[in-house]
Amino acid sequence: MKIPTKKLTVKGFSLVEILVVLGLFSSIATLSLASLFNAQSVNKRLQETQSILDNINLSTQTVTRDIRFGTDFYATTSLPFGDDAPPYTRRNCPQSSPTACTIIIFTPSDSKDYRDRVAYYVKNGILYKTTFPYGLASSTEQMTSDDVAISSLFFYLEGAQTSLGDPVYDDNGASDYKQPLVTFLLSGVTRPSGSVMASTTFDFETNISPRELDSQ
Amino acid sequence: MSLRRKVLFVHSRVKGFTLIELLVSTSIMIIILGITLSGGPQSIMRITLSDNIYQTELMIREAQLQGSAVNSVGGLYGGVGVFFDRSTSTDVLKFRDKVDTSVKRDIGVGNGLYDQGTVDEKDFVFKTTNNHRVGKLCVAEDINPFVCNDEDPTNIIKTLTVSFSRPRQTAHIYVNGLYGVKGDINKEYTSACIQLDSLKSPSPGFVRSVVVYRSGMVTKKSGTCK
Repeated sequence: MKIPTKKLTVKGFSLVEILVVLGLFSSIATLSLASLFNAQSVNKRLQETQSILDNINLSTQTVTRDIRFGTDFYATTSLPFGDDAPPYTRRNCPQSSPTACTIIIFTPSDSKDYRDRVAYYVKNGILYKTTFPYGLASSTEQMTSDDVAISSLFFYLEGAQTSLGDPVYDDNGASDYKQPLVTFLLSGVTRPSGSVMASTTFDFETNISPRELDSQ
Repeated sequence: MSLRRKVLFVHSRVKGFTLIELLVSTSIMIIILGITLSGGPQSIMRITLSDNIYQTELMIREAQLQGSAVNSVGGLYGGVGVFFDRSTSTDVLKFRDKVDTSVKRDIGVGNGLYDQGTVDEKDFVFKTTNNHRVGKLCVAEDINPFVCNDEDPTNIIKTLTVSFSRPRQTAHIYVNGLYGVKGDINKEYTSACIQLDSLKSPSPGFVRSVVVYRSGMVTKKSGTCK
């Protein structure tokens, strides 16, 4: 009769038991917290990717707008950039051509002279725009941020030249009754800063035709 | 029976924690708490800095949106911009440009700068929190690296204005209220960088920056402008 009551007096946890329980509890808490931190970094990465894609959106919009209001298109594969003025002529680059064109040159809508030219091209994974104002020094600006690596950029251009293939603007050229059509293909990879996680790839394609009627 | 009783009695006497046990457990608790709380101020600093940089970026994007929006037609205002001044380094100021009536155009345009004359163009001021401030204002020509604050003695950057006006989304960058590179209107800065750092600890983790490109692109950078 008396033994159970005596046993009750020794009931309770020992220090070792409490330490073991606390240790188990803290290790579980650490594991679950780690997954919480992971969720935070995923969120951060998502935000960065969003901002990068916003920027891609803006730059492609700018390129599209510029082409839509541009004239005298010239598509090519390479150019001696620098102080050399780009050609003022026109050049098609149809999809059937053996090498795809990577550079597009045209006269922008806000030009003061028909020899004012603008070129879009990719160098070291960044999309650049170089403006060549006639008689003045050229200037280059970055169109995509450093968070993005552009892996490829292609332009296909049809209907810029006359049906005779005349690259120079000439009223005598037989009209091909075609409005210039630019196909713009861009693909790349996002590289969020300080992130070791996998990047997001993107591919973009659009067709652009200038608003003004082409006289050739 | 008597032996068991004796043992039980002894056991009942040691019931409860001894002083040493209590000391050990409280010291362990204190050590754990100390480790946990020591990272507190630092992480708060980091969080507030990224919040400040986010707010600054948002302000520039807001100016871009409002500056190129349709409601700026009709003489309400000629563009929206963000103004940074190194002498008031905790302020990020957004302004609505007053239309310059001397310029006859269908779309009302302002001078692109923040004027504090008869009409204060101030629209909204964001004050950076927790001892963070605009530490560096940098600009770049072409695709050259950024030149900050006093690094170019011929072009000390005191104020930086980034403004947007219809119809394009492009950014116009003004240093010390001058259009173009050192006042040359044929040359424009191609990008500007605003670096936020902390007054308390200028260690590498506590610097972040916002880059604005002429094309209208706005990005955050985790680190210095360069």
